[in-house]
Amino acid sequence: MDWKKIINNTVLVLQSMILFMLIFESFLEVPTFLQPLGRMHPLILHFPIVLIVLLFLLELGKNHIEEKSFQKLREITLYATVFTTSITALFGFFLAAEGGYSGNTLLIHKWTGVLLSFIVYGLIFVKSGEKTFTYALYSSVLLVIGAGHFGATLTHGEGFLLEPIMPKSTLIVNQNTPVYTAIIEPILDAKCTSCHNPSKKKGDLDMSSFELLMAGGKNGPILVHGDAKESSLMKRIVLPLEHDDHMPPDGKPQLTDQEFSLIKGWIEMSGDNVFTLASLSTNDTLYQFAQARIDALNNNDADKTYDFDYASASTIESLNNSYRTVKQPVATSPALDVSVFVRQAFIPEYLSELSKVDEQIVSLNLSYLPITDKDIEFIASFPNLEKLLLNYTDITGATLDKLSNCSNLKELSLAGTKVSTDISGALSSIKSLQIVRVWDTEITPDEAKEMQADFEIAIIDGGFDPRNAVPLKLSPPMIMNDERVLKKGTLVELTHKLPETKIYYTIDGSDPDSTSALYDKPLVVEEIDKLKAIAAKDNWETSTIFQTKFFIDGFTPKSVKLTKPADQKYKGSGSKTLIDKKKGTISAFSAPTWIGYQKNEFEAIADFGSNPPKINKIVIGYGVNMPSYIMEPVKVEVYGGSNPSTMKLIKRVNPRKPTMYEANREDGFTIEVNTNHQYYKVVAYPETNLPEWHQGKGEPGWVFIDELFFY
Amino acid sequence: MEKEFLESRLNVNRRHFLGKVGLGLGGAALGSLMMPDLFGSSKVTGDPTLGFHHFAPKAKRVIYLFQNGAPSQLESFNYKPMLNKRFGEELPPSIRGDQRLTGMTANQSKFPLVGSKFEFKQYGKNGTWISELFPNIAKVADDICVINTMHTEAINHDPALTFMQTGAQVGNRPSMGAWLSYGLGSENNNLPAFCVLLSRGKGNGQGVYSKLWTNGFLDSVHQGVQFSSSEDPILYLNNPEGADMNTRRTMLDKLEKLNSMNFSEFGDPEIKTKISQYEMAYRMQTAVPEITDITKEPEHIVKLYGSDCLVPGTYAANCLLARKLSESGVRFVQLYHQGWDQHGNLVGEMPGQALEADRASAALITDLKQRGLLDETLVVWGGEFGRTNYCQGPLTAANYGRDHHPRSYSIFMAGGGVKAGTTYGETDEFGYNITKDPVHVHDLHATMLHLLGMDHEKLNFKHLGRRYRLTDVHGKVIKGLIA
Repeated sequence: MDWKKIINNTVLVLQSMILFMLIFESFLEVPTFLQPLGRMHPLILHFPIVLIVLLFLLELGKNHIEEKSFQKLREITLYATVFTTSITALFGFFLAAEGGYSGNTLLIHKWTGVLLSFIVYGLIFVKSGEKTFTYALYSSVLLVIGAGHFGATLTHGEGFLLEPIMPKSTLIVNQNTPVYTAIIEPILDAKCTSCHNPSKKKGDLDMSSFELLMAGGKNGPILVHGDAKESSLMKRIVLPLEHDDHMPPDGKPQLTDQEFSLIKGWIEMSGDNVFTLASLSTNDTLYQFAQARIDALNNNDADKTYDFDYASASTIESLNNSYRTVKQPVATSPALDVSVFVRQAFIPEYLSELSKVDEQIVSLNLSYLPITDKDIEFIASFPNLEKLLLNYTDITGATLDKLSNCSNLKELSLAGTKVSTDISGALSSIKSLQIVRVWDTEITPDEAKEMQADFEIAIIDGGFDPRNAVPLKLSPPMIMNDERVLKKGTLVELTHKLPETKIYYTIDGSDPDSTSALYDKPLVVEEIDKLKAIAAKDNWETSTIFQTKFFIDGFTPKSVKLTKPADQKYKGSGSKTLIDKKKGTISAFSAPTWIGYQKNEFEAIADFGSNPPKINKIVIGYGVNMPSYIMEPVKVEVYGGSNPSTMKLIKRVNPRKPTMYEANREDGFTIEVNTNHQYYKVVAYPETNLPEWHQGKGEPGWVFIDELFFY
Repeated sequence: MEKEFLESRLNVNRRHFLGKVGLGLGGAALGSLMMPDLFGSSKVTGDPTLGFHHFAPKAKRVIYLFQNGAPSQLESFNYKPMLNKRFGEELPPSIRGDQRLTGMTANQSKFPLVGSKFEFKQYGKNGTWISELFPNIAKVADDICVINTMHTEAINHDPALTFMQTGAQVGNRPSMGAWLSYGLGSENNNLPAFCVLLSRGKGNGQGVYSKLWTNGFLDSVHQGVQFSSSEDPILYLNNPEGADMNTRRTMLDKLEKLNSMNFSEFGDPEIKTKISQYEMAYRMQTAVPEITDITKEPEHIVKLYGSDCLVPGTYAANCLLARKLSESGVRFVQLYHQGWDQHGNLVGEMPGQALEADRASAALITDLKQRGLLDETLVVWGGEFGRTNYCQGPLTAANYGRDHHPRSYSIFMAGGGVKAGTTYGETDEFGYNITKDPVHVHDLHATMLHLLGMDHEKLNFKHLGRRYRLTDVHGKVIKGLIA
């Protein structure tokens, strides 16, 4: 039998069934075994869509195809189209009969679908090339688009197609919005209404409004006010995902834990659309969840939308220069941030040129610039200004009332300007103000508090109030000399950065106080070994003692040799470290000014050549940093002689042992020698056994040496 | 750099051109696909490239007060009274679990618990626990958000510090400030976008190295600029004797002509860079003295920060300078304050160390606030890890020490859109393990970038064949920290 005939007959049967369904639809109940066929409707509908379009394209391109092939091709496509269109339409009826769909959309979809299947069927009987064929074909293309669109609306919900590009209506919520409107409805909209809406009422349930939600579905009301456990809405949500009755169904977006808690809390509270957040106690779980959600909603709003236009990229570009930054922080918002820097470089054009973007400026920082009262009027021409920083500008506040033109101005900083309480009136005329900062102005912190009382909304921030602060300790005096190893006669200079501070000092090792010598001119270093100084000033506590040790430059040996290897990690700059006239800082013990020993003792031989000077004393510079296991040497020995191998012990010293943690210090042992040998050997032994009170008790300590002096 | 690439493309040859054209068309199509709101809004939006935030920023700038050496969380913000009750008792092995120890305590035979020798009290509207060592920070409790559940992967200073600063323990990745300079650019063209200030406290210190403020594989303009701790924070800014600004200007103009001639001949972009750097140096000559001159600060500023702020190189002076730099639009000011490594003698050392840090840190927050800058400046305070709840070395009634502890530690943030006046995260009663809301270093980075309007997954740079991020392949934004 001819394949065309088979299809023709099959389609005839299908078409009769469609007609039958169309007439008797409301009297029929589709048997369950046909339901799977119905559910295949969304699958097979793609065939007619593609085939009809293909047919259309073939028709358009027929002059480019050889006549014979074209006829063949068209015929096959046509029959395939007719067959799939009819079967799709029929299956559509099965699906609709299953229930859950209703409304106008379904109606339109049904009629366009049926009409399409009839017209396409008719195409078989019209000869190609006739006008009728062309018209029929064109109308099927239009019909398939229409039927397809309304079908998709049924599946995905109203407005699905255009949703991404439609302006979103933003819900403004606050404490007085009913919890249902603020919280619950958006959740239902996001997770439920795509299947439970007026056109697709799965289970006869429409959740698109509160009233319809209360009406329930085919199993009756879905919630029991005040009882989440008994509400079938909750029951279905808590069912395991695999369960057939679980909602939302497997494969659709599920409720988050937070959304679950919110719906549960809402039902338990009463489940109505009246009660608001404000009516809940703040300890309530629902309140906390809901508040968090509202915060999140308002946060999304952080990308604040403005209805003014974008400034063009070239305008923004042209306004940026070395001293002025004009920036559109977010690509999707037209708001601009403007800052101008460097007082000395300021020219009035930096401000006046901003008129090109007057509408877009939302935040303006002019701190430290020579902005005067008359500039305020110009600034007031920025209608969308929200934040204005005028700290340390030259304004007096006389013209601040002009800013009432800026109806969005929320934050105004006037710190360090000459404004006084006279600005009160001007401020109250700027209705949108939320905070004004007047720290370091003529307005005292007390006056700021008084002004605060006059305003209902704005906070007047007086900032730090130094009068209530307890007197602080002054910082110690500073020494201007970097070197601690000085040539005899060098001037030593002390200073303190705070004006009118007095410095008292001693050089004999005793602690200075206000009866000690007052520093008035640089000191001459002759014999100063130990300098101690304090700083004092009215209304301040006297400083702690600044102390330092100076080492006067003595004789320098011809060479120094280290005879025991230093620790691998702390070799300093080798033996020359010891005579480089540089004292180190022991907190930086890994610096090259220090040589460190742990396993060996420190041992160095100094050579003064064949004509040695008379040496009275030798000073060994060392550091103490107890937490880092760096202690004073436990034993120091000095040997002397005219030959390195035959030196004799001149003196051995056992320094005192510390009994507790001491502050870091850089110090020196003085050893009297009074000889004139060519060679001196200096040995310093590290602690081998740290004392009981130390964190590393029993472990070996370190010695760190930075310099040797010979006087 | 982009511009130079564009300029160099003006010299493309034919094959180059054909090769590029395909990509270009595809790119244009893809670009229009990815352009948000292309059809939703008829308005012209800017080009969403670097320099644009990914979303609205809460903070514009960062001041990171790095407390180098790891301050003990148990003597600062994490109140664990049980440790005092169980003084001297052994740390239960179940609590320690499989935590590795440093070489300093691994051989210790006992791990006796020790509680804080310093009193804790609650401050602010939400009762933030703060120890008596930080009385001034306690006063700004309503402005700070304490995180008690920071945790890290490293257990020794250098890798932990490097991790905290660059998101990786090895020292070759760009530092946070470099990423920010790369992502957001400079706010004030007369100053570097990323400045570094160092200070050293009285306590046991650990080193800081320039790799911590490196630009890594990013362009070297993003490298942190270390300020000198001397009287002149930036050296060689003054004109030499006998030269004034006019002479300097004339000289630069002449030099610019010569350089431009050279550029038109060779087209080397480095010549352009050189011209612009000379210009920037010229502008810095006026911009920097305005900022670094602290003699004009009123006396009550000195009273706020403490008179140490007049002594260059101190923490207080650096906090003051940080405010001045940040106020002038420096994107990222990084402070390092050394001296928090209390392995032993904690009771002796920590009060002195805290005294210096407490007043100036709190002063900075107050000072930013009274100028209307705190809401746009993110201040972060904290170290590289925490300290153990057991004693290192001999435990006496009067003194103890604490070893390194990476599993939980405390930092705080202020301003810049953080949830002020709150405490985030919980640790167990031993202060050892996190029980609720952990914040990993990568999470902190992700959150910081978020506050600055950057998506940490989008701020990346292609290097050696793959894209790198500050958070590498980790990190999530902690919403609980954001107001």
